[in-house]
Amino acid sequence: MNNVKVSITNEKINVDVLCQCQPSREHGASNIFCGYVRNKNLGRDVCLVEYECHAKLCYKVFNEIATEALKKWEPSANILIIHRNGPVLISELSVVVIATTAHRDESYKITRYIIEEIKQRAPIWKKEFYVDGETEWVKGHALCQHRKDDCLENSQHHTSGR
Amino acid sequence: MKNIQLKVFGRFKKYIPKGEILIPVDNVETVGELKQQIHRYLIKNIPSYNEETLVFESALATEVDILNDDDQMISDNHYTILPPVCGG
Repeated sequence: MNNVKVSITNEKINVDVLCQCQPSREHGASNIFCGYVRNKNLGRDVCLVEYECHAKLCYKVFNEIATEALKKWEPSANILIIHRNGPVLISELSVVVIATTAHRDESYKITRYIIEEIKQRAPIWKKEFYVDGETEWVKGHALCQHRKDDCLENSQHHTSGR
Repeated sequence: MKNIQLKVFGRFKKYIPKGEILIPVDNVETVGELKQQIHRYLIKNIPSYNEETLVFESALATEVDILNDDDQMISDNHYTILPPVCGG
């Protein structure tokens, strides 16, 4: 789809990414969600996070989620999803979701929907490195392809995360 | 009896650091049955593996599709196991 761009990168994400999702002439709103790596999780001091992605399936899931958002709110929206892979330092961007739309309400809804669905459905894993030298794979959400409708419904009530 | 090549991600790397393992399977018709055999194999053959639920909380996938537990097995011998996810 021409108005959807998705990417997984081993490179640091910087503000230049904003230029990759420009509003169309009929768009009056752009909403940007940025997720960063933070220095604490569940009371432990984190010094680094390493992401691991199943790239091929990730691209497929990102495109599915974006397509769902377009159908749900605004087919002419422009959407950009970028997610980091590999080691990411504290305060670096781990994920960016941008939606440009005719009016602001849809841009908020689309970015919120996409980031919540990524957390539930994208084959991405996160290993935390702690300042005490230990490491741990973060527990996450079970993929439930066979009950996709249920998963979608549940995820709309999911409010945890950044 | 045949062998399947299982690629692993995330938490499974704690027990299978090289990221893949060959698992002998016997008479499996569905993806759910394959998961049962994978679980039994890991418990029996990897001393440090003590996860009672991880395989069952995980999804099996081909290179391009996430599979349902009640899906019939395909002829491909290459699978990937996807533990619970935490992107973002």
